[in-house]
Amino acid sequence: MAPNAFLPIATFVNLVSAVFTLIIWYTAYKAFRFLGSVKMLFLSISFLLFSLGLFSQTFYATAALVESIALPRLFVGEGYLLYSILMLAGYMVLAFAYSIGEVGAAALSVFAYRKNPFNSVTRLFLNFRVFFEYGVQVFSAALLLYVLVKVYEEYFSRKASYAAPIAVGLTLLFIQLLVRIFDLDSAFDYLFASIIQLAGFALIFYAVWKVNSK
Amino acid sequence: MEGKLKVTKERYRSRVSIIVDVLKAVESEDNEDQRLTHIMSKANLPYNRFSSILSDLVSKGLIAEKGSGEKKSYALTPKGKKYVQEYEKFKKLSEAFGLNI
Repeated sequence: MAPNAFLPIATFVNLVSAVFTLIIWYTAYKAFRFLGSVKMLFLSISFLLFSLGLFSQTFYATAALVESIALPRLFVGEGYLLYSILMLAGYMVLAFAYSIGEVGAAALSVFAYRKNPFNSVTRLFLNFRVFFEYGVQVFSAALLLYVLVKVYEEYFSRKASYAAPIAVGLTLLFIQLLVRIFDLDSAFDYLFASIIQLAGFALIFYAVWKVNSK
Repeated sequence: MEGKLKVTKERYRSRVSIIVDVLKAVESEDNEDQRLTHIMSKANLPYNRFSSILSDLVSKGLIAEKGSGEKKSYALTPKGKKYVQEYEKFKKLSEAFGLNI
């Protein structure tokens, strides 16, 4: 299969993820309207931002396909930057939902800068835009790591029903961020990350759907 | 440890959870209508607060009022039952995300 052949599949995968996140946003928003909980408001906003990011990436990737833009340019283009920033904003709001009422120091320690051990990535630092995007992804991963710690803490202490698929779904989102940080330089990597992301959002969607359908 | 008082983190109840506590107190297991004092003790609320919430829920059609004077009793309406179900659903959702509401 030609490298660029992965791109249409990845674009479709992102579109499905966007639809899942949109449904999760709507359900969480309904929960906020009913319960009046600020945490649910932040949760819903984060999924709305994920949805906007995924829809924008779908749009830009489709445009790139139509205009036959080379893959490296797709990953450093405005579309990918917009996607990365919207996803980061989503992770920030999500982390905020979990940090309300908590001591901020513990959260801040997670954001500490860590050196990248993979030499292949260092060449990307030559391009400022790529550096910025890389920073955005690292920051997103740090925020999601904080959320994961909180979710697993709650999961092991309460064992709430359907908490397991949500915890695993968020873990998959974290893994796809790591793929994007360390190894996003081919269409296959892009598809791989998109599929992991879809699996993550699909699991969260499954849990939300099961709870909502009762 | 045995004999030691277990200290749990008690949180203030939100208005929605107070409403649901009142509705659950009204919802009798044997489907009999509930008396005011019985509901009040189950809901764990002071009289002033309880009476204002109760009249609010009656006016919104979540609780049905029957009889008058000392024989006044209360029952949950289908709308009230739906409200409790919705609350349980959304509470389960927030717990699944590990968010305590």
